[in-house]
Amino acid sequence: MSKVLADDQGINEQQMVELSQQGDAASFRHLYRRYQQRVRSTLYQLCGQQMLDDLVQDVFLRVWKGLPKLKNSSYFSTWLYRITWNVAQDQRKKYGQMSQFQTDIAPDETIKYIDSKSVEMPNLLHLHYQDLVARGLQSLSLEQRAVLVLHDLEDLPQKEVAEILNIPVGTVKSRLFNGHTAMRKFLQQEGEII
Amino acid sequence: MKNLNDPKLSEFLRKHKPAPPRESDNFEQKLFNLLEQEPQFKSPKSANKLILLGAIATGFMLIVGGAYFLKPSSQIAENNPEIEEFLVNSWDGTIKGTYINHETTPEGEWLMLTNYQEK
Repeated sequence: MSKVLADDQGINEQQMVELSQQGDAASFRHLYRRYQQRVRSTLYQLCGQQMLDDLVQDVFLRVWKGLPKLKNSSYFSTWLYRITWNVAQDQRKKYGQMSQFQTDIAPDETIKYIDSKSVEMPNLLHLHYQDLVARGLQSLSLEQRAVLVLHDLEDLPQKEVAEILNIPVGTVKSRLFNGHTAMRKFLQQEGEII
Repeated sequence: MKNLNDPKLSEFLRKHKPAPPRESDNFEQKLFNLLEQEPQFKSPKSANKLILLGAIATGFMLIVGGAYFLKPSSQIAENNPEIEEFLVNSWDGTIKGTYINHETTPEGEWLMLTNYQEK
């Protein structure tokens, strides 16, 4: 992930973070616009669509309040994902120690009734696969799901995933392996061979 | 060593990542209205400065307080004139009626004592 990206005003990300640390809301708005989709997507994969707006809001409020404590501004994205993960965990605690959320990650309820072999339109096939991925993710534990979401869906390297989740890289590897195995099994049960 | 990565599956998952629903209307504006009411935590630098200033102030108070409390009590010194007067009076009381020749030499005192014994 690029950490130094020039924005419209020619200010790089580190400068935006430093300005935000000094209470500059305009700079923080740039950071919000850059990251809000990733945060939203990650929370959606982890917690589902219920209270999604509230969770996104919680993340950015925590980020805003805690920004002055961030010592190294170049770690902003990792720190942001860690806060996102903390918010997801807090949400799980709030709704009890469930290994699976009622994530209701279904792009469209009608997709459930579409037979994959009869789907010919590419967009519908894509929606079908999205539904499969969503249901496959729901079948995993939150810990395994977090690793798959950050590594596979958000395209983050294993080392960064380890930093975000505050676990050793070896644990990331093992969760990734077990998550992939479970996901392949799920897809095979659904008649999909990758 | 067994390859733990599954690039084909990773690519499939990335390609078909479930898309989150759109945010509610004016979400960004509502968020930033909230942010304006939320003060940021103090920066570590400011906190360190405060801690340093606090430590200096505490150290100063301890030095000043210690010097005040460890100073020997001035009670005796304050009553000095009374004590002196008491001592003088006591001394005068003990020698009252006794003749003292302040100009006598030790030899003279000896002679006086012998004269007394002869009586």
